[in-house]
Amino acid sequence: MVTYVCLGILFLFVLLRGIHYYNQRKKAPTPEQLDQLAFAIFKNSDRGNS
Amino acid sequence: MKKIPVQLNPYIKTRQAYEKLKICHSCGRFTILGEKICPSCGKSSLIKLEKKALSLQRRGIVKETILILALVAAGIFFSESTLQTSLCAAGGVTSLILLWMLRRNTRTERQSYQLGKLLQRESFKLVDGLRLDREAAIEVFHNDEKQQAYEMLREIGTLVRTDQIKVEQILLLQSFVLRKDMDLMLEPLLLDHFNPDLVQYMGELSKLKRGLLKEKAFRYALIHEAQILRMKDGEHILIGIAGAAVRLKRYVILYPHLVMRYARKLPKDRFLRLYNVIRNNPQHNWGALGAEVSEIYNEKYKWDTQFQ
Repeated sequence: MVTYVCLGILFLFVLLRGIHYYNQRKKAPTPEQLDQLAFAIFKNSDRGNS
Repeated sequence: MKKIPVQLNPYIKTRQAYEKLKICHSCGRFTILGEKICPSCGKSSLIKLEKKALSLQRRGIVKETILILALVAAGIFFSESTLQTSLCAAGGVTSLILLWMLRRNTRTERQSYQLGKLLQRESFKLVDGLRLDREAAIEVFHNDEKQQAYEMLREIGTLVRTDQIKVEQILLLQSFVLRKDMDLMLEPLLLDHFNPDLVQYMGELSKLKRGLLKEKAFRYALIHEAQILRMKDGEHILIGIAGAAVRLKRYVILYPHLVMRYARKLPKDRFLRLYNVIRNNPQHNWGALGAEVSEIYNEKYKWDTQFQ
């Protein structure tokens, strides 16, 4: 019985990881967006200082 | 101020600005200066951000694999028959293969995702790292190593596009004897406000590397034209900038007033260029600029063989 529970958890885990991976893929920023993010971080910090 | 001759090292461009960033694997300091040795801890453990994202990804993979193996081990431990043992082992292998395939299909995007998360999560450290980089550049400047200080600021300026960094770079550039073969730049240094040093620099570039003067530079000159004219040599600088604008038909079309106001004072080669742009594009309505160029031509160059 315990073995079947373990197998169930295993497949559920794989399924959840799969969903997680595809979500990350959907939300992945483009290189240009990463650049914009980096610029925004410095811009905001500059505003915070001034 | 006496200008000093320098030999600037070429600026290495990357496809994206963030690709210049490095992080210390040991102390977590971000820097844009240096290749391998961390300026904070002195260890040669600087790595590119992409590599850091990859290592974070790998850490996740190790955790997942350990969890799968633990579940399989527990399943086998509690199995009551050979069938259950085999089922559990087969389930473990299938899970590992499935996850490997999923990872392979989403690897590049997940790396970008990790990179984005890393930038967001470590934004304070990132800002602090580049602040320390700037302080290092200022220290180098105080040690009278202006060329190195400029090169350091140029690197920092790739990401930190504040007026302060721009002005510091312009002032350093203005203390150098500029030459044609130097790796110079203009657009990243353009400011939102009027700055006489920047205008002087633009004036020098219009003589040395007019290809660096592009749309933003012409717009800057137009917006601050009145202030530039009040500068000593302001008119000469504007003539140089107008001379740079005539190198492309597109710029002449976009900034006809800038070109028209200084057309009369353009050097012969620049006026010839403008004349050819207008003559070769009769289909375009050049308006007042066309009339002005025609008038200058008739007054000064009508009998010049180069214009025939």
